[in-house]
Amino acid sequence: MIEQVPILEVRGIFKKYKRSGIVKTALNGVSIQLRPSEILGVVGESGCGKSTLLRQMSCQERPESGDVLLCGESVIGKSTPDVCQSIQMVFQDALASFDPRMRVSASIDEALKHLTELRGDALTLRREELIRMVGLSPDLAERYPVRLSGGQCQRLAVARALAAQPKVLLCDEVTSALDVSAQAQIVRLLAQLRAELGLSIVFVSHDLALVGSLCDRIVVMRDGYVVEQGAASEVLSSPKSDYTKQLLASVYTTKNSAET
Amino acid sequence: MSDTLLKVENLDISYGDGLVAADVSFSLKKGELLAVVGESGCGKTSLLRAVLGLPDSGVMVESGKIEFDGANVLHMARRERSALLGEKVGMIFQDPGAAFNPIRSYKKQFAEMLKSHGRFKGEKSYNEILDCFQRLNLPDSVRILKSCPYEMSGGMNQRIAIAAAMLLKPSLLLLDEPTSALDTTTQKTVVEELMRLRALTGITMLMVTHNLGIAAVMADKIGVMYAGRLVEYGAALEVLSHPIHPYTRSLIAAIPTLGCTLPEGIDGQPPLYGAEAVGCSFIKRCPYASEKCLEKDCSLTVSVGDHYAACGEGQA
Repeated sequence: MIEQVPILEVRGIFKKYKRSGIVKTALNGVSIQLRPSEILGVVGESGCGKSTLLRQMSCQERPESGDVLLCGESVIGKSTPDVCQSIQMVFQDALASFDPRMRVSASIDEALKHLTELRGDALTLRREELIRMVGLSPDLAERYPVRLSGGQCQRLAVARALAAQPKVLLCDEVTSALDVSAQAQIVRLLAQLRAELGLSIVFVSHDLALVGSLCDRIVVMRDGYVVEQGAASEVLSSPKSDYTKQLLASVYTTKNSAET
Repeated sequence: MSDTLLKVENLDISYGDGLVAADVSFSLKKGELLAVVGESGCGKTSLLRAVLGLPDSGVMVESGKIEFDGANVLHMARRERSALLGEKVGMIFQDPGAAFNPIRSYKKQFAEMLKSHGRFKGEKSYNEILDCFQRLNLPDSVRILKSCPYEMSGGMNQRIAIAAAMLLKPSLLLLDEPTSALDTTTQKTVVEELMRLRALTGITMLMVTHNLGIAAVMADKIGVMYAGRLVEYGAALEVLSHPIHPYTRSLIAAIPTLGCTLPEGIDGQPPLYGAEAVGCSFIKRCPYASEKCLEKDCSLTVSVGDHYAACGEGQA
């Protein structure tokens, strides 16, 4: 089998933060590969370095050491428009990622104007296409963010990220603020986008059950280290590290509780 | 004396305009735990606020009855009702950080709480607080009391908020999404703590959550709310293993299980002010919807023993 070049790779990344004189190491030599059209789950508790990892992956920050490679090429210190466009991020708080004073359609148009040559009717058509891609009706985007539900807002945030025609979508706890049904809608949307557009997705969450349902592979992180990684089915059915077992034991599903 | 602690009958709630919850009825026996589950915006938090009756919270009870320990709290004078808060009815909020002033020590805030109930007795009270912390298995209780909320993690803050609510030994505890803002492992700690608390004190709890998994482990009874109405109500295991209403079934299918299959989503959005809708409010999202659902009454008409639902369409 020919080894595929990972679409995004981090190699031995170290990242430290200094707060009130105390240096905290957020990432301790983390190496992760994201393969083309793969959905990679990253799980761990608050403070384990998940979000820091995403910030390194999206070239928003520079790690102390280590390398970030996009399609095999180092992108450290090269946050060119091309790189930024290839890697897009969706955040936990969908409402906060839109300007509250602008209609959502205007926010998406702004991204399109910035990233593409489209103007006028062509721009409107593209915006409507993006909104349909996330399963919503284009008139919904004529509302202000506060007039939308959390799930709708999050889907529109995904639509805006897609405006850049990215290769990689980084999702930082995108479902944590949503209830179960909206959460299910978002993970189904991500799975569908992968199938339709061949997107590669990094899905960060603390919900192991949800990550398991969506992702091909899972990376478990703790205190800035990767403690386990492997195929989703393997990590869920035969976890190797004690920490993963502990995480699995704290998942409440209606099934396991009906059994106990 | 009857063993019913809280009885809610045909409650209609609004914030001044449209109804956010309509015709909600349930009762809680002493020591029971009822979990009200549903999507965001279904009116579950408003229901909790109405029961709590915090003055100036904006929640208006349009009609119906809330009986606490045999007395209709809606007929009480404002002062009388406020006196119930803390003493008889405790409340745990979703956002543990917002429940405390972040930059005042817990010691001061606990003292302030006791003072406002006229229960502050100096050093003796601090010992009581420490006792309460220890009962709840909080580690290093002396240090906690001296610290400020901003120094604590979300999980720790929530556990201290539980201690604060339990300090005056209320007989009813209201919980508004007590674990939604927490990590999975912290969630487990808090859930276990609440269950131990129940075992120790036999306290009655009314919990609102969208996490059916947590409702499954904690609750005796589950009420499923949709668009401001209770659409299913019964013993927790019954509701989860033999759901009657189509909505309950879709809600259960939306929970990710530890298998590697995608959860089923429910298409569409719940209606705003759905409580005012004529006919079944789930009609737009229901796979079994038909003409007759337009004239349907939303009351709990289908029943299997003590398990009630508003509709039993498409049941396997």
